[in-house]
Amino acid sequence: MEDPLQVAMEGVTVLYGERTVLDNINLEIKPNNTTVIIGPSGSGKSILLKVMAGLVPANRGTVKKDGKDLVLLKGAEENDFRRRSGFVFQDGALWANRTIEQNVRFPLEVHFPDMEYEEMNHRVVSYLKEVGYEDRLDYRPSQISAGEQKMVSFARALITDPEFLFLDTPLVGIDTSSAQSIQEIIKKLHKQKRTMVAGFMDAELISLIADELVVLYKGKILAQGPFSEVTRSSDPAVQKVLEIVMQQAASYDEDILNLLDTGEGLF
Amino acid sequence: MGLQSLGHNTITVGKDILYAAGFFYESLIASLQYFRRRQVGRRVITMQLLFTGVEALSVIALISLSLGAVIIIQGVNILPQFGQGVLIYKILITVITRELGPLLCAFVVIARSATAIATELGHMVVSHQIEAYIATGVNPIRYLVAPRFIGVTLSMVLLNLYFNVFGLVGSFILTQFFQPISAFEYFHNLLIYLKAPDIISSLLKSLIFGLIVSHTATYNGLKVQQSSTEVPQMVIRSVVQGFTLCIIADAIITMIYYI
Repeated sequence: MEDPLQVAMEGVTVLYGERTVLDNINLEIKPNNTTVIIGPSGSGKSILLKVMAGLVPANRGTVKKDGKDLVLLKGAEENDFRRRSGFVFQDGALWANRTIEQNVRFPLEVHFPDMEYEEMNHRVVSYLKEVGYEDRLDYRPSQISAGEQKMVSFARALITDPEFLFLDTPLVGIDTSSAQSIQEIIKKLHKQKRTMVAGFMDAELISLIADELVVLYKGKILAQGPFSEVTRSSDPAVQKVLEIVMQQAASYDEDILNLLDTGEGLF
Repeated sequence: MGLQSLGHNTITVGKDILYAAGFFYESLIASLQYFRRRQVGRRVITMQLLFTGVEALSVIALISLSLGAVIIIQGVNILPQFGQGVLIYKILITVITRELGPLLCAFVVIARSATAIATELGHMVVSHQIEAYIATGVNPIRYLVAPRFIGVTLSMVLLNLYFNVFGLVGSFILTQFFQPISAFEYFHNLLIYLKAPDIISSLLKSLIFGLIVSHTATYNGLKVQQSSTEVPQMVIRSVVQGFTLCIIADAIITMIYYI
């Protein structure tokens, strides 16, 4: 049994030209917990996840995996981290020149090259079925909907059975039916005690699965800690962000419901 | 203020050159180690050879035949007036084998392949597909850049050889329409003037041009940052840099040839 992955950010700062996108982030992810990062649009949630996953380099500070700088990991150590972690991108990020089946199979080819072809096939089909995508495996990503791409992205991230998952606002920009499927997947992963770091806007889902909450605003962490403590914070800045985030999530639903009720504003 | 701006620009350009040099080094190492690694995209290299090499054969044949025709027509009409008809062979070798052959092949490869590679990689950056490769544990330089490096460079060398064959042999066929000459006489005279340094110079140029074109295409493609509007800008940059660096390299190798 492998020791759980320990990931921590120390003094991480990310700059885009003159603009500070993340400012002195110190964050340690608790294993077997779900850490949810909330913040208004543009607060740096995606960048934080990508820096933590080692996809985007930080200008200052370090990200450590089991105490070692992630950037300096090479060879077997780096492969180990990649095999044991999965990343679900905001827009799916499926490989356009591969079919759905090839997209999900590829991580197995990378990390388990000696796996039998039939076993790989079986695993790909069963994981896709688990996320609710069953047929059209020979389609290209451009031939399926955004929601379906997100579900395939989940299957691809889960195919190596990772213990650590990065979820970059997985519910944004998809239809209600796909969003519900993905919510069920996330709840199931939470029950399995996988370590998850996620950027969410869904208030209900956050309250159901968040063990730890991180409040991010303009690239800075305003508060972090157990969900119940952070949401009861008396800090007005934290309360303001919680209000903004919940309102942004709520107003989207409200607007859609109003439009459907009255028919106004529809074309 | 002007001095500050100049200093800032100098530092930016310097950093860019260093970054490009580092990228070239990584790409070269990855290419040299390519076939030793399990995680290889042999299909990519095959497709690259097909697209860059095989599909350009008709264009290259046309260009080399046309160039040979021009040299023959001009040479046959002008040179005998000075009693230097035999110089046609030296001119053919200098122009087709040593100078325009490698350069025109490079221009064709830049126009067809460098643009396609830069566009494809640029779009992959914008749509986060490169990040997805990294998240999966795949090194994008080893997996995406190296096969293109190898494919384009190999194609360039082979296309140059093909250009030479078509140019020199095709010129013989065209000569028959103006000043019929026996095949023996033509090729005998050609081989008198075709020396090893000519062949080495031609091959060296095609190899270096291949490295330049593949490097500028992959480097600029991956330099796209966030927006799809940057993709055409980087494609144009890869074309201009490719052209410029190939011509500079051509001049340097030509100077070395005459030392």
